Amino acid sequence: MNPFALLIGLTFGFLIVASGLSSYTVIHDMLLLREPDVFLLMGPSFAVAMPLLWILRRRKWKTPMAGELNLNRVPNERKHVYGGAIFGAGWAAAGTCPGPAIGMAAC
Amino acid sequence: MELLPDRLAWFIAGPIIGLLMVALYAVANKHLGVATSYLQVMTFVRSPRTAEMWRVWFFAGLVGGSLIAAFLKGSPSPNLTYGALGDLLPIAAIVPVLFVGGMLMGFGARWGGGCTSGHGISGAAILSRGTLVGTVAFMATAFGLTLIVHLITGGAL
Repeated sequence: MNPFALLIGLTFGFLIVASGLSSYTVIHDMLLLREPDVFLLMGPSFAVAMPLLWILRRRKWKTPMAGELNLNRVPNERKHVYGGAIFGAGWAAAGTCPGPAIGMAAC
Repeated sequence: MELLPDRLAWFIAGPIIGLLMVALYAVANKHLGVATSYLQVMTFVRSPRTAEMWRVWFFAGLVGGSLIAAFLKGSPSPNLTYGALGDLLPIAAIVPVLFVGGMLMGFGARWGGGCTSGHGISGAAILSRGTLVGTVAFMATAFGLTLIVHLITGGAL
């Protein structure tokens, strides 16, 4: 049992469904640039995460569960382009992606 | 019950998602990514000992959290609607579309090393180069394809 992972999952799943990201219409409208909320949602999440993670890394933060914080940036490779393109095709077809799909199934 | 508004405002959900990313990094040194947890759930089903258990619990949380939100929203009991796609196609045709969509996402996420959450949200927040390229790739394909389908179907989709 990992209560921490469970809690993060619970909150994330809750927010995905509560903010409408598990709606085909919302995602499809976003992909047609008719729906600003999804882009607006990403702004504050980056605004909160980026500086905090930057500070933690600078301070060589020790994580309680897995040693020193390692943000594990990955270098640019071709697989990211090919895999990403295929993923995007599926995303466009289904109007959902792996997280919200769980929400769709739950609704 | 309708204890939740139809849509929780972006300025509430956005910062909390940001904090989830930070918490997961700060506590467990992990990035918030959903596609990987599908993989770990499958690993768990096949051979429980080799699975990354925290991701299995994370997945269980996703299911639970989604159910709670759906319940509080008072969403209509199991429905088979699917937005404009559902208006245009009968269920029998939607199932294969979603199946293919799911296959593409599963394959693409594994090949490209992440999905919308792993790359688009938590990878982008740490400015990982590969992630940014992957995000641009899936955004470009998704926007492009959606626009093409929109034009072909005369705006129906």
